[in-house]
Amino acid sequence: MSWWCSSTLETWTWTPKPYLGALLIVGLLLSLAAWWSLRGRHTDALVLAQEGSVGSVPAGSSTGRSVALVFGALGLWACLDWPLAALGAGYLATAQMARQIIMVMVVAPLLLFACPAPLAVRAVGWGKRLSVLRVMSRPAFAVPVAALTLVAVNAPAVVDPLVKTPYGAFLMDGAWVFAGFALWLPVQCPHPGVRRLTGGVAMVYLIGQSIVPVLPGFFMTWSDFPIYSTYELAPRVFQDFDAVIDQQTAAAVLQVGGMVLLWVQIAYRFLKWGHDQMEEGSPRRKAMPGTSAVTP
Amino acid sequence: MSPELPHWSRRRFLGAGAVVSAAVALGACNLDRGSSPDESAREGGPTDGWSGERLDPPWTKPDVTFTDLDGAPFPFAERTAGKLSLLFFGYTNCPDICPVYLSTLASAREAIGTGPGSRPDVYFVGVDLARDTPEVVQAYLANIDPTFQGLTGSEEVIAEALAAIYAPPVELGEPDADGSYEVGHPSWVTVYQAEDDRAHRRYPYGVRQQDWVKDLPRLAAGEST
Repeated sequence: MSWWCSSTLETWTWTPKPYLGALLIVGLLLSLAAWWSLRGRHTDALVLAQEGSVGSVPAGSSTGRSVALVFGALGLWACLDWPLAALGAGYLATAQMARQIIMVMVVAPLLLFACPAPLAVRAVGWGKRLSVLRVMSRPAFAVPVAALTLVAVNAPAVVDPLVKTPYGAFLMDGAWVFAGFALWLPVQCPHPGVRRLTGGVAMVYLIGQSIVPVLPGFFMTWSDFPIYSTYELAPRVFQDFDAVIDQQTAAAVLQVGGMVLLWVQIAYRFLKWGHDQMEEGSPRRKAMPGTSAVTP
Repeated sequence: MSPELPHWSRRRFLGAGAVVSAAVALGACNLDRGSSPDESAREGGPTDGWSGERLDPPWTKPDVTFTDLDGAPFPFAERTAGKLSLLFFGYTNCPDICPVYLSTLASAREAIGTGPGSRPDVYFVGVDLARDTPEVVQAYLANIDPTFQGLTGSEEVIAEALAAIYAPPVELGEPDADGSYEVGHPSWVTVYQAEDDRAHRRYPYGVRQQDWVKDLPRLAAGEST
């Protein structure tokens, strides 16, 4: 059993080949969630009554967080384990870009959403690490860092050597996770000490963010030749799905797929924002505390 | 006297040690990666501005008579005289090198479009005599590039031709449960130039489409150094 995916040049087979590292990481994530759930004290006074708290405790019910955790963990597992990871690391650029999009646009925001504020406080605290987190959660920092990371880990000069070894492929997957978290921290940071973008500003940020997947896909779309030697020289998985078609499909997955996932989230936030606005403006909300009934 | 390390420092130190140990252990766990037949072919390459390896002294053409797909004799040296000719030995059941290499070459030809180097004669010699029948080779090449020409031959003819390109003899692998088997064959294309009917370069597996697009016009123009 390999511990991580990498390009092997072996003929592709559909015989399942799980990766130990992927199972370990997903297992650790679920263990952390189980430990937190069994721990019981979910609302630390430390979290809510902290003087340095500038943001609000992120919204979201416990059920919502659990659902996000389950889907986030499933997405992570799908990205890191056979067959998608094996296909992506050594056979198809399309699979690699699908992994990237799922990791950056689905897994990262879901896991950030799933993270309860007290857990974030416990992990980051209120000291120097929080200062770092605040800087990382600024859009002016997050977007360039995420974009540069994604462009770098999609450059052929980086991809081709990295995917040859499990360590290199692990590093690349780690860079995706980092880029994903960086991109979503400004709107999804679970730490109450960080001022998150909300409402219309958050949507403007997300719309601006949609440029990020376009950047690495640009070269794939406009190149006359396959840009990655790994996928050009890999044994074919599907007859007639050659390296050029694969590259063009990969670019489409990265750009169109990334955009669709992003706009789904923008639409969700827009609807939720509109709903919240209406709730705020409704007579029931305007009623004084203690009023038992509101008459028109 | 140095102060005692605070508790958290020791914890961090131990944590970092645990991470490094885990990484080393996981690295050692990479049991089934195996060795690829031609991994070295991907590494580096000639540094003289060509993607093919220089042959010094140049190789002469194999003086053998293959059989074409219609069953007619094909005296290779005679029929390819004065033409840019690319010779590849492979087998139609090859799972990796042959289809990838031939597809790369076909795509490169298409990318060149017209002009010098766009129409080299590409010959595929099927070395798996039991399975590479003329019909099978024809169907195989039609899927990749119908302009590629298929050739077959007797065991002796193929052995002689391989000896002319300094390649080891064909090696048949052990059949698996389904009866299919792998065949060891040279994984390079030998390029015979039109000017002197000799090969000055050979192109190992790992040469990319863009490399062919760059080199084929130069080879067609008679350049070799």
